[in-house]
Amino acid sequence: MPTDETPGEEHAEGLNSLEIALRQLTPQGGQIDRDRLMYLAGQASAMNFDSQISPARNAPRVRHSQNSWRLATAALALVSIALGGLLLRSTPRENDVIQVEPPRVAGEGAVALYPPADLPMLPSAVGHGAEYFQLRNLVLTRGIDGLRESSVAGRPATSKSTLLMLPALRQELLGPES
Amino acid sequence: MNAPGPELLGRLLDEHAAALTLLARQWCSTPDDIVQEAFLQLSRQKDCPRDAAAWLYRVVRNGAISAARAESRRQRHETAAAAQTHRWFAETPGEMAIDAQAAAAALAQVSLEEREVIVAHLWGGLTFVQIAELMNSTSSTVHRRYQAGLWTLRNLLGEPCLPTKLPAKNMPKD
Repeated sequence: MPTDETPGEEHAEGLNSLEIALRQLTPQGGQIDRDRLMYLAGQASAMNFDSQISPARNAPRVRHSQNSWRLATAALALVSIALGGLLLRSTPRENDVIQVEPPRVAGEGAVALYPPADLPMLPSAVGHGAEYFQLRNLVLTRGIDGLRESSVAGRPATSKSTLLMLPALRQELLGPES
Repeated sequence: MNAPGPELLGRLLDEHAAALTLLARQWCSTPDDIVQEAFLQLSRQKDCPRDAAAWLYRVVRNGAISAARAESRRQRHETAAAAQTHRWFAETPGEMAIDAQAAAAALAQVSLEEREVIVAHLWGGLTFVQIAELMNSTSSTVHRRYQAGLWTLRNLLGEPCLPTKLPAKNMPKD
């Protein structure tokens, strides 16, 4: 008998014996399936753990986020499919490739496209540079008369410096005998 | 504090399931469901209650009362409970001081408040303080109900004949 439960005076002994006798009775166990209950308890505990990770109050936000990702994934998949279809339907365009043939080595039957490196520079061009070649082109295209109307390097073709190049030009075009 | 583990649940189930069922049986006709739901509710707790056994008794009592209200059988329950008293206690082989069926029949005639205290104290092992918290009452009131209920049982059953000194089961600590 617990200490905080002092029984009535005259019947204390009788109640004590009645308590002891009643305690010997075993309550009838219910129809609870112990194994199933333990399984369900474990399941409930696991679900509770999951809800701690993503509490129920956050469930709408989580669902919204999941839907957003699904929509974005679906949209990207559609765009990819459309682009793939366009790529397959389009005809292949000819590429603008400029083919530069390397200069062939001069040999038998070959044509030299570039002047050989050992070609000596004309002595008439020495000391006049680009002005000489401009003058030569002018004479070749317009003739000797074109000198009166045109200019070379910003100066009149009949200027003194231009006239100094004429002997060399005549020698180149007409030969040394002229 | 951690969540209740399977060891604690198993131990509570072994030690208190029968008494909890008997307590719930005082109120409703589906005690197994109430007890099972109480254990599941305990397993869902993030933090294990300080006194898990007392917590279970509180949950079972509240659940049983709710079930009784839902069933609207409160008035008829007294007779229904008396009719089902053969399921209250297990038949134990051997010589017993009190016949199980006679004890159940007598217990069914005790008022519900007194019966609750007797079941929780004798078979549930709760102290009067714990029972007072369970019933939102005071320990002195609970103790008074307990004495009154025992007195009624003694009048119904008579003085028990104890052939030998029987060991007490589920004896509360205080």
